Amino acid sequence: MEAIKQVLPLLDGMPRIFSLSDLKQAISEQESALDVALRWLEAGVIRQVAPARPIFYRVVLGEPLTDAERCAALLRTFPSVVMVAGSSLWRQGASVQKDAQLECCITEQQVDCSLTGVVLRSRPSEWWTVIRQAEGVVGNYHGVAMLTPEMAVADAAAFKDVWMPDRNGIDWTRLSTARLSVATEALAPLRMEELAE
Amino acid sequence: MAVVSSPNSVPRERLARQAVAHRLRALNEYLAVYRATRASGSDAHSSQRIRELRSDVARLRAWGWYLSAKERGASWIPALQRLASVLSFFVSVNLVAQRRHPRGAALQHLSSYSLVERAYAALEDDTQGQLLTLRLAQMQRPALDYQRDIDILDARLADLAALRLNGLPEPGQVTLVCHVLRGVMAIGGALGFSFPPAQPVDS
Repeated sequence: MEAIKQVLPLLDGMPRIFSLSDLKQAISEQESALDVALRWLEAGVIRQVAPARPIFYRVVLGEPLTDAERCAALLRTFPSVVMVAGSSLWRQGASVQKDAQLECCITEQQVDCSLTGVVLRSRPSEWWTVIRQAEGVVGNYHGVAMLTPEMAVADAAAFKDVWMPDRNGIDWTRLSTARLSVATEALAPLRMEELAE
Repeated sequence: MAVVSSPNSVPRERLARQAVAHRLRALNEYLAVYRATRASGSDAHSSQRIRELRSDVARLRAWGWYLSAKERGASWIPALQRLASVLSFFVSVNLVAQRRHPRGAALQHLSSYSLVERAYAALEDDTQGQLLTLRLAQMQRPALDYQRDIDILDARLADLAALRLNGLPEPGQVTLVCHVLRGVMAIGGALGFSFPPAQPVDS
């Protein structure tokens, strides 16, 4: 208990999202950085963003992570992260139903994530080629790239593993039929591969 | 002091190649997302970032090729090393001059040495992340025995720390090797020769 008390002031000085290398710089001794992180993890004052990743967030009671902090944590942990489905539709004003969880796709098969309100899905690496060729990304939300509404709908239909608003909850006037058709066609080969597996 | 290698030790070149492959994967993932963003024409910042990432990937691939050639004892490695050690003085002088008089975007570019060092450090950090997960699991569930896995990761960490501290030549030599081999790869690739894959996420 004494040991954890000694390093708590250091914890207060750390940003809400930080990496092991940030911690090493803060305490200057590499060996103890690992020990300090382990003590904090054990005490439950920090958590790893995803198992086995050297990115952490500070747990502050009554102060959940903001969207900006969750996005920052995702960007530092998963370079391939792209926001999909109802999360993307809601943030572009193409849906009247708000997502309960921020849903994103990554290349990794391991999709465990300890961030509250975040769900990760895995996509094959060809998916990133398809969304580029079909111009399926539009802007970003706190740095996290978002699928266009058309690509979000086509992706949800193809992979069927994400949350989407009801049909009536989508503002179809904001979607282009031509772009939806292009997105659906572009994702079709990946859908076939999924079905074959 | 004699270096005692653990039974779980991995040869240095192989470990370095793992670090390069690991970092290349992350850089290619960033690149895939930036390329997708630029394709939609929605982010002007993407083009600059894509140029930087492509340069990083090309230099890191070149370093990866150097390591694999060194590991298999390629005949041209000693000549390249001699060339690098002779010319590295001029590269070092140039690097110092660049640091004194940074021009525009040059500030944002990582030197080849920093790029490679960062790749080694990234694998070390990730291994430490794995070790933390295992140690925490062991503390929370003492009945389960993770000790063997922890020992393997501890040995790997010791190797990675040694690699980062002693496994890199002078910065000028790293720069020269990366730039020479990057050029060879570009010309050879255009002529149809094959090189270690770039591990692209988005091809």
